[in-house]
Amino acid sequence: MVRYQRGEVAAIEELVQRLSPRLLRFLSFSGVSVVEAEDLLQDCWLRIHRSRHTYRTPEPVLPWVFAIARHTRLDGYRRGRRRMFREVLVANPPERRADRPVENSAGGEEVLGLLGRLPESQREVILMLKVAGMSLEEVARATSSSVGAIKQKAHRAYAGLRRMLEKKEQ
Amino acid sequence: MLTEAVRECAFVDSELDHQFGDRTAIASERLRCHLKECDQCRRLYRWLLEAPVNTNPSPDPYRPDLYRNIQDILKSSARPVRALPSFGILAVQFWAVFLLFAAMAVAMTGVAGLRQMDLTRMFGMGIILLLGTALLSLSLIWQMIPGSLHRYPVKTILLVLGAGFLLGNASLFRWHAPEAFLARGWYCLGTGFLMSGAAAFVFWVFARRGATLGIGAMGATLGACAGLVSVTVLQLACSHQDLGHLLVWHGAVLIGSIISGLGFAHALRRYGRC
Repeated sequence: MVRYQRGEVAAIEELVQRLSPRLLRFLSFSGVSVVEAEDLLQDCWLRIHRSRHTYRTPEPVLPWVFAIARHTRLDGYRRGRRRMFREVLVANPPERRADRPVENSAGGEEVLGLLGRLPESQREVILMLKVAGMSLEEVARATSSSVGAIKQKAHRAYAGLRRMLEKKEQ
Repeated sequence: MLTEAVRECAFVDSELDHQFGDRTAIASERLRCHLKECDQCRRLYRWLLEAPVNTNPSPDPYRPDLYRNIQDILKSSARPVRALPSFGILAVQFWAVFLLFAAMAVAMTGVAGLRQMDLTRMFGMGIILLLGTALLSLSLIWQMIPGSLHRYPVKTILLVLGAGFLLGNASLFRWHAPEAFLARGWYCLGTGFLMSGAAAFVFWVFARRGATLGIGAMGATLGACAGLVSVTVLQLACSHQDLGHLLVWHGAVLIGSIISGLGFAHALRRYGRC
């Protein structure tokens, strides 16, 4: 990140290559199409690029990146809603969805599918914990929240997922 | 039996918190026993902590050249940037802006209000205004730097500021029969909003060095900063130090500034580029 701030081209390549899969995974989990997810990723990187001077060395990189990604996602959602109210659809072309499950382990796809039914704030916390591999404190940093609030959201999400798994069994 | 099962499931939650804090932590014996018995907890736990996440760089089903395009765009404008100064330096800069603005405004409006206050009131209001400024400076700097740990949410800070102002005034000042309540009030309100507008611009210039993500929260915080500097100046300049006047007219400057900041930010997000 420091090399990126210095303007090193190799650092840009490395960062984009290393962080984009996680970002793409995080950004695409809102029922957006493949094209929209790609646009969100590009938008997110442009924002990261414009804000790169706000990163400071001893701080962790992931919360900084995901704080920006989170707002890119929220703004994308707001834009989508505004567009939905303004535009009149004349046709509904079949579009590839971006949020298809990709876990390979047994049961992984099932839980991932249920994640979509959680409220947005809880889903976001689980996605950051699971997909980005962040700690509770890092998620708190990325969501401009406190660790206690993140724990509370995560516990509600676990309870919700358990209920859904139980219902599914029955 | 059911209560015990629920308690054990809650124990899994706290174990998950522990493991998300330290990814190398080993599952306890109690957790392993419960996972053997509870199917939902087992599946949840496995998915959250054991199932691999697909972070394969290959962007299937996305465009194969997606990452390359992004890299090219970023590389075209890659130039060295200077990182923001440390939190402490930003805080000092904020206080310098706040005090400089207040001093300039007081130089224009005078200190008639200061002469009306006794030592207790001076000290009490000074503490409230200083604490309010300290809280707002923390909040503003946290918002300027993405990924900062917000120890207090913006809403809480604004509520504490409002409650502190209300309680501080109510306990320090007495109620007098209103004399020219409206005429004197309008003057303070007009002057307060005028100062608030100018202060909001100055604080915006300070805040735009960072990266604003939550524009609504930033608008409300900038409004609160501007409102607080106006209230500080009015407290020193206004000779009508009675409770009714302070709560209604000076309070209106503070609350009006927060609402204006929020409204402005909302309009900017709705119709602007943000």
